Amino acid sequence: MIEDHEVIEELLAGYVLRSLTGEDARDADRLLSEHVPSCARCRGTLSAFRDTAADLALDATPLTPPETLLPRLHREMGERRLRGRGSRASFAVAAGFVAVVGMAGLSVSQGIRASNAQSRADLMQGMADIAGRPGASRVTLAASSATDSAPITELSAPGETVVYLYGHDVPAPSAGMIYRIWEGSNGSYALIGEFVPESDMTVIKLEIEGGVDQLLITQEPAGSSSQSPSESDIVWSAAA
Amino acid sequence: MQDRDLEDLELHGRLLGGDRGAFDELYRRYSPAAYGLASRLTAQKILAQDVVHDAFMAIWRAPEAFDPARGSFRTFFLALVHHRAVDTIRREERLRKRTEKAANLEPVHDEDVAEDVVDEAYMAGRRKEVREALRTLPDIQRQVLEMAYLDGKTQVVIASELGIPVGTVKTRTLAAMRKLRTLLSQEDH
Repeated sequence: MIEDHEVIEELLAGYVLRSLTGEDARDADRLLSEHVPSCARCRGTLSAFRDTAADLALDATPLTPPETLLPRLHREMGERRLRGRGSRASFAVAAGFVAVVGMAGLSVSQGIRASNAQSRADLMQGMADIAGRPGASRVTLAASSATDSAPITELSAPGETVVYLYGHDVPAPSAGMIYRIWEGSNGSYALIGEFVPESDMTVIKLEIEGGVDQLLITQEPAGSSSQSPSESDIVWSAAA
Repeated sequence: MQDRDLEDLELHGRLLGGDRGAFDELYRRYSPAAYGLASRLTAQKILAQDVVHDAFMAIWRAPEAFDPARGSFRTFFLALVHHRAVDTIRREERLRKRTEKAANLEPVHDEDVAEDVVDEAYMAGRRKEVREALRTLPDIQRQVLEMAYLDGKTQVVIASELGIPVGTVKTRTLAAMRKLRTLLSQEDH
């Protein structure tokens, strides 16, 4: 791990300008996930550099967008639908969860409450990026009838390997329990990971690799081992 | 926090509720800067329009992606535009290398420039401050900053084009970012 703050800040400057490649880019990624969240100096530097980069955008001469652009946006805004639970469309975009690769405000696989401010900011930016892809859609996962849990929404885009799950004020699991994410295919299930939500907004980033029939989130005893989800444990689901 | 940022927060809050009027107001505020930035980076009208379109659709589809606790809406949105524009030019560059011919797209022309017409007061004022701050930087620092941010070039490419070590690009970039931040922070107060 790089510890020289002069070197770290060189990487952070290059990172916000999106000018890093190769080993520098990998070093920056590692810093953002491992060092920056716990270093107040680096968090402040990164925030300041981000503001500076936004200011740099103003050095470009402003231009009036074509008159057709806003009507085009309006048309596509009108086509947006927050699709219902369990719909075929829901299934289509829910398919393919196979690995949790990152998260913010929570810890998958270990079930540890974590606060990773910088990773979170990056994930929020990633969410916005996916949302802007052509054909991007949001699907509200179906909540089980036994719970009045706050909605969890799935955000995905055709052809994109990354999918986000997010929700506001997702309730903490009961004492001694943890949430688990399962993917199902042809009647068999595999555990993707575990998480504990944060108090405000929970965001989970998943990597898509192949076809999956169903996505489930269950509430189960922490530390327990199970081969498949129990119907009574399901809290949220997206299915065909 | 600036009044402008507070107004953006209020608009974002309305956007969370699906308020189209808030969307239109954010479009009015940020589309000239966004289109100018995207045009500068991509140098192609069609690509720039797609970048701006995608960025605005992103905030409509997932306004939750902006977290007010992490900074201003302006910082978030212009970073989103910049990221998408850089991704676009690097993708186009890869395509060009594969096909060994330039895409037949319409370039951005100077006659599109309408700074006095499209830029609202706050953005125009801030732009003036930014440009004045940039002018105070040593040329060698301003150069690497603009090549990286506004031309979308990597540090390796910048080093190659300027004939200097990558380490020098890093040093100049950091020095420029620090100085610019200091100057613009003073303007904030």
